[in-house]
Amino acid sequence: MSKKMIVLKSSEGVSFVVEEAVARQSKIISFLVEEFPDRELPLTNMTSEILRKTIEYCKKHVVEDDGGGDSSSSSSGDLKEWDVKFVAEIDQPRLMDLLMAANYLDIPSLLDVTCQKVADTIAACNDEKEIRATFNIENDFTEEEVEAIRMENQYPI
Amino acid sequence: MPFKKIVRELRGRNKAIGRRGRSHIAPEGSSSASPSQSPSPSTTDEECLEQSIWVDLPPELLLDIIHRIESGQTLWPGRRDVVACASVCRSWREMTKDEVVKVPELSGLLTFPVSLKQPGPRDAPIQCFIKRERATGIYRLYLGLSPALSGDKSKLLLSAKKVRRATGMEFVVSLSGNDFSRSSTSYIGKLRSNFLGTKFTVYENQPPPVYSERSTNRKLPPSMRVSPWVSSSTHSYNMASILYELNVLRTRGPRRMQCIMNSIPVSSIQEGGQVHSPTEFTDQGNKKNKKSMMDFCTGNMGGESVVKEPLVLKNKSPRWHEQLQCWCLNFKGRVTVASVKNFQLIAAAAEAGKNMNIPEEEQERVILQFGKIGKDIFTMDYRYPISAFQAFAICLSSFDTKPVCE
Repeated sequence: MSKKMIVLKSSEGVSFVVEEAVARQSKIISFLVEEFPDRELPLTNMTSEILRKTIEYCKKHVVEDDGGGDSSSSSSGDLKEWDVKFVAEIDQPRLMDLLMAANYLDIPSLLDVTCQKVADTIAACNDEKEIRATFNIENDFTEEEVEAIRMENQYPI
Repeated sequence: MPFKKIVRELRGRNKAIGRRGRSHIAPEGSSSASPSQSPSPSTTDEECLEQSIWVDLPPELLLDIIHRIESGQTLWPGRRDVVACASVCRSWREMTKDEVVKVPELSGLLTFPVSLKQPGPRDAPIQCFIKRERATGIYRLYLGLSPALSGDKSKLLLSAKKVRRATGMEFVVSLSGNDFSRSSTSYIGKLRSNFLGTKFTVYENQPPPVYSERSTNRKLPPSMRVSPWVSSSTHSYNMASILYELNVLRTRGPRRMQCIMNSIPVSSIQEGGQVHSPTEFTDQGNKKNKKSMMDFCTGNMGGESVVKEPLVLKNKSPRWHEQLQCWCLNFKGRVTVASVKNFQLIAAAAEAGKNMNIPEEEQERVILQFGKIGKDIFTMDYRYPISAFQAFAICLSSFDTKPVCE
């Protein structure tokens, strides 16, 4: 076993042992591994559930990146499909957590798919009320602003 | 910074390495990996957590997300999603309006009602069509190539209702398809003719922009340009005059018209020129405008303020086609039926012996084109520096019959 393993610890204190190559897809972890070798890395603002999802994503991507030598085009297509399925299975609050995790750990490809999924979810809403309900956002407009918005929204007929 | 926090924590943990044995090592991929000692958050905590996700969401991520929605929906009715984003909450609204949605001059897209008062794109015109409803005297402006091509997806931009007054005709222009009340928030302005129908005045239901050194600064991006609307009371101002040349001798020939755009300086089409672009449809609830008002409230905020050297538009002269025995203009396929109403407007390069110093390329460019494509259906293509509202008003003047002009 030449592969180096590193330990990531979630906010609940759960440790995850992952291959270094998997974890290094996060630029932050990559940096931390070099700074603090042989140390477990505490990710205090990530729950076990989100950390596990993130690792699942990184694992899939590290495998595809390694083995995609000869059939790169088809495998990248498969990977895209896998990404779509991956984010489709996540419910709304978890998706936001995962997006934050991707941002926090600096994993550009995961950030891309989660942002796109959030954008698609917003676009699928019928109106702003549905967007607020879906994402649990508070309506903080003043009465004046509400009037201006009402006018804007009657306008697209 | 959370990242610093990790590093700090790692540095501080030098002695704690030996305690690793206490941590769980969860089987990866198993769903029951939650440790027994993990705190179980109460439902209220969870709600707070979800709410805070959006509060904590870094602005650049929200910007990224809204950008994705915006770039994915360049056509109506899909573009409604962008308007919805601006209606969710304050931070979303600010982000969508100030950062994501670009003015039509740059994007060629119409999104919010304010874009109907902003100048059209500089390169390709925005293509619209007008449907006339003879029975009710209502004219509706839609975004799109033609009813046949755009179908149900065509988006209504503006409507106008023709009202006969003792002194002449009046067209009331509204954002709504059927509300033409002056007191309505959808009322945007009117077009009034003199008794003969030879002179029209366009009134906009807003005070005019104030031109200052700063607002014509070339370096400022459009989003930075200020829009000092008067906030106290809304009133009309004379935005443009349209003059049709009398044809007293009744010689045969096309109509000749001239539009004096009081709110657009001629400098707008000179090299490097710009035109004021309002950023808010009304001043309602816009603190930013009120603030900029304070900076710009220096004289000249009264009613009939006009730019010093207004842009003047005139007909492109048609040429006489010997074989067809008629006057012809090249509408590039956008106009298919011969009509006295058809026209193309270009910038008048010289007026009253004064050279306006307009580049030759700009002199040739058609700023507004209007013409018939079928019974009660007309196309209207406009571009910088005029807005959709200004273009629509000019076209409406062509609908009014002018027996003395032909």
